[in-house]
Amino acid sequence: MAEPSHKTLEEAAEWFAILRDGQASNEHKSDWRKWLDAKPENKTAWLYVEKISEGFQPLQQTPDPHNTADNLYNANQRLRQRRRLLSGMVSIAVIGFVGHFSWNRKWFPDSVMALAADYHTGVGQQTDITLPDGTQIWLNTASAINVDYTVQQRRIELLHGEIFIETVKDVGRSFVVDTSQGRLTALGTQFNVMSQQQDIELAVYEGSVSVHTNNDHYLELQAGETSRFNQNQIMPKQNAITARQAWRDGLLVAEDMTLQELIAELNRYQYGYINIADEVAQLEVYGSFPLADTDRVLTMLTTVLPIQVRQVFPGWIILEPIQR
Amino acid sequence: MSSAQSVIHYHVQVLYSEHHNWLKGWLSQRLGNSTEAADLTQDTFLRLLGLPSSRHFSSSDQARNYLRATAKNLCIDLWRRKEVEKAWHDTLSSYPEETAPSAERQVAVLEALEEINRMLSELPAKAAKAFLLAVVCQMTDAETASQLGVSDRMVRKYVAQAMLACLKLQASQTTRELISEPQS
Repeated sequence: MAEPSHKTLEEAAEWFAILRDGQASNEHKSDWRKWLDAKPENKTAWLYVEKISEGFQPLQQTPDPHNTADNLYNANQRLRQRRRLLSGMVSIAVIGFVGHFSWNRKWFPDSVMALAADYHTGVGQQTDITLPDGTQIWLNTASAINVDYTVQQRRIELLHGEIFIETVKDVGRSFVVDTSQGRLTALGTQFNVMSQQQDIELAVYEGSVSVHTNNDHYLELQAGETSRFNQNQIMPKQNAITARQAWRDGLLVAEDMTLQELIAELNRYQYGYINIADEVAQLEVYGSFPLADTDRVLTMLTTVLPIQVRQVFPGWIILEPIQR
Repeated sequence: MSSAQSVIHYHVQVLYSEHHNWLKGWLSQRLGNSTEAADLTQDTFLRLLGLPSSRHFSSSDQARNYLRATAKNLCIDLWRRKEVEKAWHDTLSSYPEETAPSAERQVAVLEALEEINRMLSELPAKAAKAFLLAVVCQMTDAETASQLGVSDRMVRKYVAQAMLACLKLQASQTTRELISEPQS
């Protein structure tokens, strides 16, 4: 018996949602019958749905299903929080070359500027440095910074890429990060700065950071807030996603992410290029993925999504819908 | 013991002596519990012995990344088991004394909790809530919608999303059993 396609499973799930409370119209019910009889594959998918929904019965038959549902919901929430703690919040250093790709081909020259910088990482590399005052800085893939400490001021210059900073309080000296688009001033804090083309993205996880753009726009971000800016404007604040810090652990945590967004992230960590067919770009992805192992991420994705991997030539990969 | 097996044992022994203390320290820092950390460390190395072929690490960093990832997975499994057990105890205590469920029924409840818990972790929080109200509490779309402050259509979307997550989990479990690939 052929396994139902992803599309068929999706249809079966939709029919379950329409029919399950017994309030569906007769029209819906007859449409469902037609769907069921249209293809053997549909019938197989529906059998799965039935089997799964039978599995819910023991819980429906507990004396107080609302209490049961609450217990489950709370268990799930606690699990989410602890999981985040494990993968994102706690700082550990990932030093050295973590990238290993079977189709690795170095065809992008390292930026000349990066080689002249005080600290820099290549594509797929991450590093972690501790400055004389105890401040810690994590450099993500393809990033470069200069460090300029004087008696009055501690100054970091982000040349490109992404950094996470955990500052140590120093009453006498301010802590600033200069970017191509403006200056950030930190107050005893943990924050992430990423430079992408003409935009700088700032996310604050502890304390607060003020933004002063080259053309004199000003905004202060508190812990839990994120914003993008360039020299001419600052975008409205949004909630910072805690899981995003997981890059320091070598992990990409996807929550409410599309396949396209996930792959765009992944492309930052490797020399090759992964392209996505339009039909699958908007699929939703959840889970934690090892940044250092693109092969494995792709295998994980093909197990849960209706996609296949096609290698056109070394360094060029296309993700496309499964061919039938 | 075959010679292949003894090679694996040798590799694991070397890894154990080089990284055991580091892993235990790393875990106890996160779990805040040294006994639990010691157990998980032990389990992590046991897991290495269970791999079908010996795993070679080209550097100590690579070995540590692998050990850390394995330990994390084991840790999440442990938490999940504990959370599910807690939900199970809480649910069983809601039965009136005179109608205490049979052993079979208790197992059925535990299995259902495990399955649904695994699926819920794939969903956004709101969809998880909608699914629980609609399917576990058997509320209609309209009742669920008014409780969550969303439209009926949204409830159906959430329920379909949850059912699809169940279907996909089942499919990926089947696939995993087929390839019986070691989890890392």
